[in-house]
Amino acid sequence: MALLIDHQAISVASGSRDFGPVTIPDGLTRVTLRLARRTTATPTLWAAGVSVRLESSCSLDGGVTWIGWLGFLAVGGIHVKKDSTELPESSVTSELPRGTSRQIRLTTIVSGGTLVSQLTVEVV
Amino acid sequence: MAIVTDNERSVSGLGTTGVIIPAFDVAATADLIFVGVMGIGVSVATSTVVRNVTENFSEDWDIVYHPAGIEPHSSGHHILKADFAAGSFTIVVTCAGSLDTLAAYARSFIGVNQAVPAGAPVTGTGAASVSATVTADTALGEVILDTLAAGGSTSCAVDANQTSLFEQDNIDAVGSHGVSTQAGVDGGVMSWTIESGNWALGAISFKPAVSSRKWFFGRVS
Repeated sequence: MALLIDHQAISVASGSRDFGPVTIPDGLTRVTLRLARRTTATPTLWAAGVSVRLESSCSLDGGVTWIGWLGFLAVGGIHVKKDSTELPESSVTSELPRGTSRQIRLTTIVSGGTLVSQLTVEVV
Repeated sequence: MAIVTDNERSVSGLGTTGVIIPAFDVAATADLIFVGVMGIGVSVATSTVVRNVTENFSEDWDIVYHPAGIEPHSSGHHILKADFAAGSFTIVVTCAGSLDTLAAYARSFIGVNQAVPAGAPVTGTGAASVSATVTADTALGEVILDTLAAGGSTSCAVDANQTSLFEQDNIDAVGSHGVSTQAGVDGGVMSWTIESGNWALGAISFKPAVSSRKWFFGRVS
């Protein structure tokens, strides 16, 4: 497992912003992108009404060319799960394309306010 | 003509209103993209699939979610069929609310009948069950796919005659997702063993293209 980005504090106004690229260690096969959510314990993060589209793309040639790979849509505020606990992070997971000289980069597209959160990229 | 797989990808999320599979590449000979959608959560999960092309698409879709009053979860599928040019598709699955879990599984096929690509989808739901079963209307030469969402279940396992294509067990202690396939010759009973919980299961059977080859029996003089 490798944390390519580990709870990096971000503040993104409405619009888009890129993160990375970061190098993916060879041999790892799965990626998870996470954004910290607002909870009772973290009331300053990701306000309700702030929508995010997080997309990522991968490069198999050291950053020369890029292909879209996975993403998610999510809205802010406290998300209470059906077991009545609060969800600390929104996330998306997928297999990685195989290869060497791989890199990943992310784009956040924010609307409805400023996204205040923490970004994590984990590969296993 | 036998139905064969062209490409497959999956993506799964927690606390999302949608998931995205960009750059889903299909061959020029591909006939159809199946998008299985699985979700569990408090929000009612109707879903739509958006794609980045307008070329010659028709869309048939079916979605089922658990009756109100019991934890809602959905298991649906969206069928995109077309005379494709080889291309790269962005598949976006969006839901009406923020779900605890949401997953999409895309698979493209070659050799599907373009006039009548599939039989009628079948769906089922249950509560406090240890198995989930539906029976697809199928026939020899067809290929069945099913999509399972099992709320509260820590595991899911396909029964005999099915092959698991995508499986997520005990996702964030909320439930499990699964997609499996079966050859039509095996009869169409699609069944999963789950822990006790509420479930939704949908299945559909794809029909093979009719061969254009003509056989001639007789003497050529």
